[in-house]
Amino acid sequence: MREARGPNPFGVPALPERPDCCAVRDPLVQVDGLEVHYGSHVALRDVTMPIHRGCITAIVGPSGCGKSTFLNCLNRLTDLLPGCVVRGRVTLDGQEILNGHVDVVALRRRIGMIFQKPNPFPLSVRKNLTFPLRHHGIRDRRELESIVEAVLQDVGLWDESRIDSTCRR
Amino acid sequence: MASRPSDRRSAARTRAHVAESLVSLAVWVSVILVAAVFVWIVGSVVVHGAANLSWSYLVESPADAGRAGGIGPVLVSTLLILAVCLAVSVPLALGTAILLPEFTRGRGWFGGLVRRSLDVLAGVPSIVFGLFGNAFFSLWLGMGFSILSGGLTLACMVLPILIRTTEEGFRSVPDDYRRAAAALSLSHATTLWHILLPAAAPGLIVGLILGVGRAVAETAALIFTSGYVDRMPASLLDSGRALSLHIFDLSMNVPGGEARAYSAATVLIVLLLVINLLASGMTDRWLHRRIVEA
Repeated sequence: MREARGPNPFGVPALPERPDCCAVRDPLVQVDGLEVHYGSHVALRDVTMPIHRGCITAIVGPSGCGKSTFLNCLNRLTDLLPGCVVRGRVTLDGQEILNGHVDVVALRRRIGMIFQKPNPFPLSVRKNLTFPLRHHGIRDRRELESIVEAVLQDVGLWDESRIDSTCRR
Repeated sequence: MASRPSDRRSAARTRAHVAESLVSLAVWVSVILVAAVFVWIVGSVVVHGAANLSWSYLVESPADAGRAGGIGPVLVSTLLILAVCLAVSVPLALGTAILLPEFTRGRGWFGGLVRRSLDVLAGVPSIVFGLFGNAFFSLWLGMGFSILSGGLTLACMVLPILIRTTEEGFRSVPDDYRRAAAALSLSHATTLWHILLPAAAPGLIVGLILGVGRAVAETAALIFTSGYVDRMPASLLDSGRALSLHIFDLSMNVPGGEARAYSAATVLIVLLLVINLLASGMTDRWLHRRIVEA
């Protein structure tokens, strides 16, 4: 990609030259012969692919082709879908994750998922942000506050959420 | 005779209008009927019973087979029976309602069987529960006629209602919350305590109110289990007369006891109202604390 860029007609500054992080192919997740059924409907058949450490992997396809289903398999969110059967092998760091003995909570700590549709809990904005952090061991009030402020600033909601909470009072 | 299209249209409009009025009339009549029956029952009970109500009526012991005196020990027994019933049934119902959906996912037949049994149990006449309670708690387990065996019998009776409404409450929680919680790698316990329980709480409260209503109103099942004794109970193993049983006894077995039966019924209605208000008020506060504050 980078070699093919050529002259820069739009005045976008060129990316700084950095070593290609994907130069060393090191499969972190290995998917082998993955097959997913919803009842009699086959959602995925014979998916085999590596996912490399340090790379951004994009999965592209038309709506309903099984992209989300594939992602759901990687951290066993498929467990929550009634009638969903998953076959095949998926390994994370060489460790099989599809068998019944895997600690799914620990697995999901390493493989998170952000859904296409935002689905906050019916809690306050602050609680939505702090409650998972607290659960994962960050209990210091000041640290929590600074994380909340940082992420709300990042997404441009900090001022809005502050106005909201003062209005409510 | 051919009518013009505009005539036909206005005729159709009139017909639709008439049908509309008839439907709303029917709806109003049924609403008023239902409300009237409620007002009539409560009104006649309160009108007949209010005369005897006083603080001393609430705290004194009955005298002359209930024709005089108050209902102090009866109230205490009623509340004790209710407390035993809820202390046993609420945790059991919560546990069952949480586990039931898990079971139906893996082994369909087992969850189905439990659910079917619960529906049958919910429809069993209370006198049958009374006989079961008498045979099992009073005789076989040797609790005799006691508040404990009465409360446990009521717990058996209330359980099916509690479980089914609680389960419905959990089922009404959107799956999105479960998926979001799993994606954040929250544990089952955390998800349950912080997300599912508050979201399901309205359902739990409906179940609780229905259950308490059924338990407080119960007479038949208590005749055989908690007994008739209207002295102040000294422990849970003493026999104690429930309020509904007191009403039944006064109106059926005690000549001249009707006025006092009405008074006791008024107290029963007020008690139910208070319990309902307390239940919904407590959930509101509990939920408020959970949801708004960090």
